[in-house]
Amino acid sequence: MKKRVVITGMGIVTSLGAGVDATALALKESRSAIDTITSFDASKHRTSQGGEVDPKILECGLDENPRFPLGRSSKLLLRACTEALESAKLATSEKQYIKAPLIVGTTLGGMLAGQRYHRAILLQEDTRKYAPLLGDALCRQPFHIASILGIVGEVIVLNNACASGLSAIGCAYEHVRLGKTAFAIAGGYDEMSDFTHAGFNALQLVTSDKCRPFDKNRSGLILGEGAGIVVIEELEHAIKRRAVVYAEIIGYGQTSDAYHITKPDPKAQGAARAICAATEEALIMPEAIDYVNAHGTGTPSNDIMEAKALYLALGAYARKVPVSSTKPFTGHLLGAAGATESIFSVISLQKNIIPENLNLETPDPECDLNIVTGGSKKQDIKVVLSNSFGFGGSNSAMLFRKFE
Amino acid sequence: MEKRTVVTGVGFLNDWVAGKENFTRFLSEPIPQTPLEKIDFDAHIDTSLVRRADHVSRCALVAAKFALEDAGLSALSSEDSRKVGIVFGTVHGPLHYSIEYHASLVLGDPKLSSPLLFSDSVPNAAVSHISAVLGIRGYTTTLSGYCAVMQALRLGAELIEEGIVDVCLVGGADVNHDFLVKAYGACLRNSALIARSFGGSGFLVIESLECAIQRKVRVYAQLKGVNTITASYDIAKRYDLSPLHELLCQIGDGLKEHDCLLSSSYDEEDSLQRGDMCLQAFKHPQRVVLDCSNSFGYGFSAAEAFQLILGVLGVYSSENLSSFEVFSNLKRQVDRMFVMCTALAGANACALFSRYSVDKD
Repeated sequence: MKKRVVITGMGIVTSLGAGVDATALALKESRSAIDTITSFDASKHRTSQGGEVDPKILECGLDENPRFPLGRSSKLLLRACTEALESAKLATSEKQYIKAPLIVGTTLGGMLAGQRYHRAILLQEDTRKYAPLLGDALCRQPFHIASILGIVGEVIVLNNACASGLSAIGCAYEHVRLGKTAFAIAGGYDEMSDFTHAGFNALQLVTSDKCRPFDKNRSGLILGEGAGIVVIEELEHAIKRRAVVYAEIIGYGQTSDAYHITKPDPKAQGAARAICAATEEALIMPEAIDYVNAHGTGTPSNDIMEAKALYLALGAYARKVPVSSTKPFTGHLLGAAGATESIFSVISLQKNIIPENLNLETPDPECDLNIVTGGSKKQDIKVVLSNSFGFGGSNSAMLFRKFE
Repeated sequence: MEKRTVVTGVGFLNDWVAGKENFTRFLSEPIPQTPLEKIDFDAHIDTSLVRRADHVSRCALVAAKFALEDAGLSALSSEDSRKVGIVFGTVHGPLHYSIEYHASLVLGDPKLSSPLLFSDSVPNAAVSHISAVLGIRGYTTTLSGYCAVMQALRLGAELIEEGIVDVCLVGGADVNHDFLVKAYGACLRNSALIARSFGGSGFLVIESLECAIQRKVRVYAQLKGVNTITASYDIAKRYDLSPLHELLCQIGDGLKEHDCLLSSSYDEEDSLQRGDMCLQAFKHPQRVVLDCSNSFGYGFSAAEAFQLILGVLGVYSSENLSSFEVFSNLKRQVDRMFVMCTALAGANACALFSRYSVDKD
């Protein structure tokens, strides 16, 4: 018998600030947090704009182990994990172990630490001062965070490019639904780095304008950084320990395009299959969906593909259901995107608001969708669909329902 | 596991070996030092499809292709391909391209950096190439970290159990690089294993027994269970875990007289200690243990995948183990083979393969 799965804890840190409340307020007020990048020199690139997290937020006040200092991405992940465990009332002051898996997605998490060491080698500098940072690189950040927080279930790190965060939540959802664990801690994280910024610039996917998803004149994405973590729990277990239930996960789909390493399949069949798999699992008709939190990167190819996927999966209703992309608020958080957007989706359910699709001026007729403009929209919302698509044709779609 | 999961295909490739007949002999002999470029990819795949792919992605693509062919799945229809998945594990991903790309940023003009180098340096590049070239459209994912291949095996088995896929390619790949030797050398007490680690890729094809019977294919082994668990040891006290013990609890079974074990531990105190807990429990005059780290060396996900393949081939036929001295006096067929890793960062994993016999079923 498959279990009902609910979300009982959430933690988030993005350029909008730290915490669910600060995030909800920014979404409601349509307040973007894109600014000039300060953590590295981005002036040589097409854009120097990005969604960076305030450095003060990253100073988490922990007594760090000098042998293994925390890098930027670990601090992001730790901040989000701590808030999620506290909101789920799982964090303890008695240093007890948390027997649950930590399942996180990232694209290139920890890149900065490895880069500094490698840069020192290339420039023939003294590498010794960067060596301690390596304890936090080489795929170790989630293991490091698990050790700090006493999480002993299992650490799983997923890399499905920009779909990593939602894939990680999907993986945790399956674990709980199948009864492999009573609860799991899951989400995604990624830091800003000149490696990824230069890479996306080289691919000509970054815009020198504003990020304008679904706009006829859209010209690309803006990068950001952050982390989003949720506690996913079996309903009976949550009720038994009197946890607050924020939302229920009712369906998930994950597929592959088998098409190209960077381009999405223009026919959108893989993305549509992921959405259909989620609705089939949830046993709902498309008309039950009240809001679509789109992947909506603002690149010409992604947005057209996503519109097609919605037509294929939801039929005529795709033109009626309110749709918005929240990437203009924070930038594209890569491995964290699917996780933070899951939290945005849950905020929508809780607050009954649909965030605005910022910066839309000229709707693209090829993306004939009901895009939300003119401020956030107040509406009773029961079901939200969240999409995440990544390089290499990774497609993930998840359905959240208000828990009543 | 409710559905019985079986292994029906194996595929592997590294700088020295590509072919089942040489596999176990290769592992039992000292690894020769040969440059990476020695692999003739053109002999195995249409390299025009993956011209820009990193060495890890190419190795993984060839090994995945071998495994599918071995399982009789070389031609997938569009419909079938939606029920085939890939779960791939790697510690460092496409390392050569990551290093090369970063060097181009540091030493050259970032504005002129190569978009192709960047897109092929992300950890999921190998799975993207495998899925695009071999036309696999089901659930695909990349796991990174220590013991990621064992995690891939467990996740793949769960996908089959759940019916999300009918067939799953599970495996991994990693390569060595001077940067790794320097980086691990800077942060580990003992990095000698890294210096002599090898690169390559290995894949298993797993599916439900019902599916294998329906397809009338050879079954190498039955997967009885996989346990992957992380030891957390930085808070109040050390939390020691024996992956072998955890697996036995999970499958509700105990050790038997003639069980065999393929073990590997990283040569650091913590990893060895967790490994020793398993070895102590396994001690019995009738049981055989092969220390894979010492026998065929360390190779991150490549070695982990090779260890799993050796386990599968070992229960399929004991002849596959005869090149290893510890197995040379075996007078009977191996019925159960445990494969165990205790790696860095507290990662632990243990899998159990058993001999599949048609008579029993």
